[in-house]
Amino acid sequence: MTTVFFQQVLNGVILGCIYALIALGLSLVFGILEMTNFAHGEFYMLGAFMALFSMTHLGVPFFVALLIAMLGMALVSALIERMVFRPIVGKPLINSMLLSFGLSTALANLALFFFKADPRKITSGLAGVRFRFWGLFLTGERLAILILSIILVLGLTWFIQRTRMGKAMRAVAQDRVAAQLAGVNVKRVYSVTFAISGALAAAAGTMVGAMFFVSPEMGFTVVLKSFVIVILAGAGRIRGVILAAVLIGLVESLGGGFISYAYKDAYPFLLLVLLFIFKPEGLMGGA
Amino acid sequence: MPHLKVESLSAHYGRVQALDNVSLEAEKGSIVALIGANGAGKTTLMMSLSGVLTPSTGTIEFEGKRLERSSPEQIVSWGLSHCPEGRRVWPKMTVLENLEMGAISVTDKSKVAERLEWSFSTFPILAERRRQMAGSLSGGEQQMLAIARALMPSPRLLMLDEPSLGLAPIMVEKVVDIVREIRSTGTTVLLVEQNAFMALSLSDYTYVLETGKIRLFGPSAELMENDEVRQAYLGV
Repeated sequence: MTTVFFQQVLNGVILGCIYALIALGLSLVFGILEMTNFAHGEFYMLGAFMALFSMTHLGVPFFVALLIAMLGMALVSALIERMVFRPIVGKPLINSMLLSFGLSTALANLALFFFKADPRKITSGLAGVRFRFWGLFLTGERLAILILSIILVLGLTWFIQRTRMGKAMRAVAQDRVAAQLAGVNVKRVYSVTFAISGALAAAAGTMVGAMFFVSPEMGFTVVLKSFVIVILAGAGRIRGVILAAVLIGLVESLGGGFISYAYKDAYPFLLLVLLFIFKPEGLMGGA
Repeated sequence: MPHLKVESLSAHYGRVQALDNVSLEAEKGSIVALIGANGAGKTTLMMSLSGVLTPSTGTIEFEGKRLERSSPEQIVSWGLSHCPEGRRVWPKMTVLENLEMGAISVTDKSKVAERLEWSFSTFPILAERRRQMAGSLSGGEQQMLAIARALMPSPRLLMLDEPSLGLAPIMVEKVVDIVREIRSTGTTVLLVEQNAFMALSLSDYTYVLETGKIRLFGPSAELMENDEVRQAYLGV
């Protein structure tokens, strides 16, 4: 019983790390552009397909495919920001909600049309490597995913805290006009924010595609769960997002393991409802 | 030729006209004050000068360069810096980070280090608090930080919007000293103030703005004696 518990904890942490990658991008866009991006799940889906096709059509190994997907989606996301989101900068939130919801539906259906609905798997080639320790079980693939997502999260944190562009992003999030007056190129900050957000989503999509499946509708529930994470964390808090993501991963994994796997997608939302009832100021306290 | 020359500038928020045919000039190394009631258009004029707002018509000329269609980051790099009303420091960044970001238009790293050193010697309180979040500073300290941040790119023209607002009298005096010191280095200062007495006594030349129009202008010492100004703005 305890072994099962710890096995589920391990799985939950891995899942949580992937959720962190997705939710961080969403949180950055929300904090810096003051927009909700419901099409973020489709960035994740398209990234997964980019990696899949890089492997099946170009024959590159898993990690190269992951890199291609990240770079490709960074570019695509920046383009989408420029063409779709830039015109509504500074407008009320409802604009980005509706616009991104439309974009989400359009991208998912285009993917369905071109890529077809049958789920496909990304083969990392590491699933056969197995580790056993303390009665727990871990594939090489999951270990690689865990390490990789931790590296990406730490890399992002370093970027935001230490680099010039990262500081510019924080300045825009905290006071856009003050940032403009100081000479920050706000448009470039917007492009970079979307590029990072898309790249992280692509990495997450590729990893999930390796652990589970790639399909055109894979982004739908993920984007909603990511919003739950962002709400739990409070906008613009990197550490909060990481904690909330791991929490959601654990809730989903433990709920799936001990209650019923059939409702695994419901647990995060149940947690959100409970939070709204008992701690409406948010998990990490007030504003 | 004046250092800054604004001609027939108009600006709108949607259909509401905020500036109506405003013209003004500032000589190099002078302190020019802009006074007027709330909503007279002072901040709008400042925001147009720094490129955050695009004026509908009119021209802005600074050191021979036209600014009215330029982006804020270009304008800062050309030597015109704007310290906004309400301080607007980045509350969740440290004092040091606020200053570093103030110098984002400066590409030469040694120049940034030099400016940082200058800021810390001019504002010793900022050196003491360099690792603290800007949001944890007192109002007066935040104003010092905002001014220091605006001075990081070594501007040749500094715009100060309501630097004395909400400050204790002793801090207002400190701000006055700083403005004098900035001017003594040859920097032109454009000062927006609701505290008309402070503005008139500190500046060389003053413009009075009323509902988007220039109502009066002249040497500050003369305006100080003007009956209209005395009644409306000095309350005597």
